[in-house]
Amino acid sequence: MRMLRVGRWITGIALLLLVGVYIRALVFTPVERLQGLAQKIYYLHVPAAIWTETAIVLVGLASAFYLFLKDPRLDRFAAASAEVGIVFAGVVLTTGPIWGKPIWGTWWTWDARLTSMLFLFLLYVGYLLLRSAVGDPATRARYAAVLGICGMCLVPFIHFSVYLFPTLHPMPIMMKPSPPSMPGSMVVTSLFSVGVFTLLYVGFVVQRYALSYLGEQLEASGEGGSGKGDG
Amino acid sequence: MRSPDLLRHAWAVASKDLLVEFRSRTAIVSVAVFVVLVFVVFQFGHDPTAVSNFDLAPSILWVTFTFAAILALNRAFQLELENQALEGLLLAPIGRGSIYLGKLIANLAFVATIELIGLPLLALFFNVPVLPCLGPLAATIALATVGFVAVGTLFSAMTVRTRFAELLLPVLLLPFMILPLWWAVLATGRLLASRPLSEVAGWLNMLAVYDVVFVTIALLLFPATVNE
Amino acid sequence: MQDVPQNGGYMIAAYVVAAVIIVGYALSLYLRARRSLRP
Repeated sequence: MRMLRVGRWITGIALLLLVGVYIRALVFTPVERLQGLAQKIYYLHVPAAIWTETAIVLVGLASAFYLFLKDPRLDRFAAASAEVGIVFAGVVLTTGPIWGKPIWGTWWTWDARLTSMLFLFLLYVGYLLLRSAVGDPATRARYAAVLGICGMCLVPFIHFSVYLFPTLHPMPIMMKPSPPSMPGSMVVTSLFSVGVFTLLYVGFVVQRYALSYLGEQLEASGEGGSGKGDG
Repeated sequence: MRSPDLLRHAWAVASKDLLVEFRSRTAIVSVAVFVVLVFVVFQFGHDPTAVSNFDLAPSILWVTFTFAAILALNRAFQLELENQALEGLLLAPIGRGSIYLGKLIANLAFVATIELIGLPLLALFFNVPVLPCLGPLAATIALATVGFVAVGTLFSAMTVRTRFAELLLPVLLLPFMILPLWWAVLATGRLLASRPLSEVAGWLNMLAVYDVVFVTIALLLFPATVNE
Repeated sequence: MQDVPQNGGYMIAAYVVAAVIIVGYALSLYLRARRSLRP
């Protein structure tokens, strides 16, 4: 199946480039003086966080368009983006505490940024659980779309909380209006990593989308899908 | 759909639900008992020299209120599951918006009753000054409650027909509930500690915006949860 | 000038965990697709 092959190729290339990110971050990027080596976790944590959030917004947009257009492709995309989103959320929620422990002295803190990532994770869990709890594909798509839109609308509220509650979390370094306060080498590594994570997202979503499509074909031909046969 | 019709029909839906609940009274009584139980247990359990009432009271208040809300929401559409009453409701000459609003009003009435019982009891058991800040406190409670009940009513329309409905609803609702709850607990804590209104105004504003946004979204999305 | 903190272990742990999750998911996608294509 062509889409699957394309997805696999993109993922393969992304994984290779990820190795490149690893090498660049670990070996060729300067060590941050105050935080030490642990600061390098940034190069994985932040791109994953960016895509965790972007993925959920995309789920929301796809959901909104689905309710208007009723195009099943939008629903398949939403399901794919949600699954990939939760994987990235997993990366954020594991690397975050591992970074936090040596820097802040504690594995977890209810600071607004970590908490907001937890929220996104919970949104993903709810979305995926809802999808698996509904048998009929049309109803499933409708319900998921409703939840997806609500989730997307929650994101700005989650963001506002960050700015209302200044806390332990490092203040934005890169996304400030003024020029980034990191030395050039670190900026390059960050951008490289963001690019690779973008490619990973695309590759994963394309594969997962293809998987949905395959599952639907199998169900249609009466052979039963793999596992839950979720679209 | 004209506004007066929307509200009139909503009220019809709401009063039907409230009448059924009032007649059986099982849910209200069990939640009220739970509230008293939680208050009493926490009073017995804590050492007043170690943990002040002011630290404990806001969280306990909101735990009991959210429990009441979840219970109300779990039952929200269960009435219609029997005898295909939901189909009957959908066939009635009222807009989908009215059904949602009616359910919302009924749920809010249920939770409000619990809150009206719970707040004085809190003041009594925990000796916290509720009267001086009653206005802002009532506003906080009202705004937060509307927030998560609005979203919960929408979700319960979906979960009621799934497997593990009662388990799924709280899981779906969790992120949507934690956020207004968080602001509400913080505001409640400040108010009970006799802090000025200006300190909690930010949270009250967030709650108000949250309510407006999510009630609107729920009204718009509700038809998608019941249309075949 | 104070010493740079010696927390390389955490860095390694995070990089390993992230790799496991990402590669693990890539593998899961591959295997699930193979299972779907086999019949």
